[in-house]
Amino acid sequence: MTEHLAFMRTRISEVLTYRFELLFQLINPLLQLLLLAAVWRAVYAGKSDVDGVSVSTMTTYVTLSTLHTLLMHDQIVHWVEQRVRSGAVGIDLVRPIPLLRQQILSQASQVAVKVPMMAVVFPVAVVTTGLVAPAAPGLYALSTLLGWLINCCVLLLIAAVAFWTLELGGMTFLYYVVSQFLSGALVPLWFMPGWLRTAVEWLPLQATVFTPVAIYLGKDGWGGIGVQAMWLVLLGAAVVLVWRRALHRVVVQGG
Amino acid sequence: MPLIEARGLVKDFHRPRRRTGRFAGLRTLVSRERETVRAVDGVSFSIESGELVGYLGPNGAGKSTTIKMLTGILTPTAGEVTVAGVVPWRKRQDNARNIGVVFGQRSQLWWDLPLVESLRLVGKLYRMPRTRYEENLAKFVELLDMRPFLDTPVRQLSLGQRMRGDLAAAMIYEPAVLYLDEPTVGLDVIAKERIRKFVADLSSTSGTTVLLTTHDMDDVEALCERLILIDHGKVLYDGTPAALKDSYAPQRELVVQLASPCEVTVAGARTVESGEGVVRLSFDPAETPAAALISELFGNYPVTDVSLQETDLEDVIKKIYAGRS
Ligand SMILES: Nc1ncnc2c1ncn2[C@@H]1O[C@H](COP(=O)(O)OP(=O)(O)OP(=O)(O)O)[C@@H](O)[C@H]1O
Ligand SMILES: [Mg+2]
Repeated sequence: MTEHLAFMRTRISEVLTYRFELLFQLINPLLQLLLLAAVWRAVYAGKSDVDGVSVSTMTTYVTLSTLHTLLMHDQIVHWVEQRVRSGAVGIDLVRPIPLLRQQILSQASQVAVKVPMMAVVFPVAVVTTGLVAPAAPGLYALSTLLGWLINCCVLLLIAAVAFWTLELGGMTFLYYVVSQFLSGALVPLWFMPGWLRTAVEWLPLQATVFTPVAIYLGKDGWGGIGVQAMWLVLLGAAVVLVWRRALHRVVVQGG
Repeated sequence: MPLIEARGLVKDFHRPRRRTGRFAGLRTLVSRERETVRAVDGVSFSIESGELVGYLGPNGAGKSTTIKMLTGILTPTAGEVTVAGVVPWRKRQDNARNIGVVFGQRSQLWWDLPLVESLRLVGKLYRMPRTRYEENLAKFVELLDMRPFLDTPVRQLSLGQRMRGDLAAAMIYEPAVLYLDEPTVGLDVIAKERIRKFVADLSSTSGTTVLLTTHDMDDVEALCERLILIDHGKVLYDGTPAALKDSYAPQRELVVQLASPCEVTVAGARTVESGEGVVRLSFDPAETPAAALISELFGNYPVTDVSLQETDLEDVIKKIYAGRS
């Protein structure tokens, strides 16, 4: 246990050396928050609800989805790609913590950096956009945890591609753009056209942001948790398999 | 039972076959055709606990690839390897606890953090009791003279400082085996000397088993009791440096200073060079003992001084590399 905490501590100090980058990571959600709030206010234009969704529900959605997106945004894909390309992954492989576990600990370390960032974004969000009380706080916390874990799995699967191709190129960027939609970070699923909503509901990304926020708002419950649990089991198994394969065939670059 | 045992180790790398001619780049990209490079080709050796072995060979011989298999980084294509009873690639973490490794070209230290932070993390990762860690840290800071840069971020260290930091990180948890892949590359003579002394001390006082690759024959002369020489992934020689010299360069040289210039002819020795009162003689010590040669010289010529030249390992190795296919 202590070795895991020590590893996390080191990763956190390392992330904290790049203050400038952290500052930008902070500007991003604040901007998203203000822009989305402006858009939805224009959509509602004085009406108290649209399609049965009240304005306070919608502003709460914006606040929370922004915070969740901030939590999900993780450097791990970039980190793995760079370690594999440079051959530094060879060094990681001779550490006494298994490589996959190192990545999970790295992801957990980033949460420790995200919490103080959220402490900045949260009050701004509450004041500028608004927040209603949670419908089911316990269930929401559980769903948030599951959503974070699912997101970890998805990112680890993307990162693993680097073991085969050595580069992820535009893939990461594409993923971030697409995931903003598919996770429900920009637009809640209930406002999506029927065909898109069906497609999104069959994909795992909605379980990262949309499900916990919907549970907070009382629009989903144990059903949502069940779907999340299923995705977590499936993706978790995929991660273990893919990483095992990757480690078996790993080719370390450079002398 | 040997500590490190390799039996018929093979490692193949695959890479896309390069096309030439029209649209070469595009054709390389879409082609599924791949060529195989056999980097290590049936290497076997066994190393007993406490040995200090030099693993030598020209560029691209397969040294680093072998070390990557011994450390568990790479999975062998064929063959078997055990280190302290563990198959490294099967049980990477168990193996990691038994070994320390320094890659000269690459660092295990955390780039952005002060050196001491990396060492502290290593201490924790290997579950060292605090007092043990403190003792070893103090010892290594002293031995490797790291006090002046212990709190400096690794990215600001010079190559020699970083290498010392890497050695400390590899050894602070007292592993039984140490792999050194070109630990002195790019270092100045003083820094090289310091690292050699550290490795020699480690080997003699802690009994650490060391496998060292280097292109610096001074490292080998200073440290290794045994050499394994490989080329094209195959073992060419495995034995002591002295026996290697004897088999590849049996001749030794005697430099004779004369009071006045004169022709020197003695049985069993050949004149290699002569002039200005200095004569260099070449002889085979198996046939002509050095003592007999010297007493004959003193008896017949106005000799003021003689010195027996050590066979230079560098020359021997050069000769072997030059003679390869
Ligand atoms: N990742 C890789 N992909 C393809 N070929 C590789 C790879 N790594 C090494 N090789 C090839 O394997 C052979 C052995 O390489 P290796 O790095 O083991 O040599 P070495 O003995 O350490 O050489 P040097 O003295 O230059 O460090 C070389 O021909 C090299 O091109
Ligand atoms: Mg090498």
